[in-house]
Amino acid sequence: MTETASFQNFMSRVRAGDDRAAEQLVRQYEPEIRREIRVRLTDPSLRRVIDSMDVCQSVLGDFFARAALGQFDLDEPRQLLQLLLSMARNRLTDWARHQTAQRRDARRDQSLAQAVRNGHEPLAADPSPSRVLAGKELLEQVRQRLTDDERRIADLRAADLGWPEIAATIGGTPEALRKRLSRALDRVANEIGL
Amino acid sequence: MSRLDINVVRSVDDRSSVVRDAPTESPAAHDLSQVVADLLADRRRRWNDGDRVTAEQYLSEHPELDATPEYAIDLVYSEYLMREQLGERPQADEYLARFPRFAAQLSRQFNA
Repeated sequence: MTETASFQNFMSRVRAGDDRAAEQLVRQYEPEIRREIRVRLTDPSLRRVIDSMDVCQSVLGDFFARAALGQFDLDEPRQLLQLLLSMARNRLTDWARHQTAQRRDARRDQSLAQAVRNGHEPLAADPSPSRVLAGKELLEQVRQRLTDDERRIADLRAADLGWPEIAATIGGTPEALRKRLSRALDRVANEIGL
Repeated sequence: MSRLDINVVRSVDDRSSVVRDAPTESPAAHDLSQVVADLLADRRRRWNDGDRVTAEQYLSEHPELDATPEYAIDLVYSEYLMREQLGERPQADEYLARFPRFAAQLSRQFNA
């Protein structure tokens, strides 16, 4: 099996919810994600309330949900790493902005991580020493907010159909369908605070 | 297993520490994390004052960081990013040559 085919097989397993593939992905990409966050988290006041593990888990949860719903087209590991690091940078920016706004408002004195878990964190708030990433609840939450048409596209993607095949099945162009699903997931992510 | 069941159980880091962020979860790791945080702040200050202290200098002054390469790599990679922020165009090859022992990890970070 070529490297590309092997990677695509791996991504198919990730999309299908294979927990071993998910664990492998976390093991392989978490160090770079956390480093990308750590070295950009230079403000001491932010370092006290945000840690790379929180941001990393949020990013991976978002990634697994979107991947399961068929958003990403990735051909090689490098693209996956680029995507995850980009998501990490954006997430860190969002959380830092949120924390700054909180400080400005001076309404609450609680950590950003706690605030995110309380109101914005899409993953189950698990106070135990173990945490669960990208759970079933999040995926169901996202799916429920898609329209019937959007959910159909997501389900076909989750079934590993390519965009040309999906276009042949339900009509439209592959690119238009890809953009439609991407926009739908962005909309839902915004709605639920992903 | 349902395709929707993606469960990755992770251990959680020590949330009682003032500086919570560390690649590993041991108390010693948190101490080193604080060292790196202090060094990053020190570098920013010194570079702003025109003193371009290098990652090599910091690593030689803090040999304890070599015991946990993750911290040393943070120090190296952050220098690269700081140069980018200053409008320079640092080359990945330069860093791979300067820090061959971290080449594998740096390559992944740079290529992304």
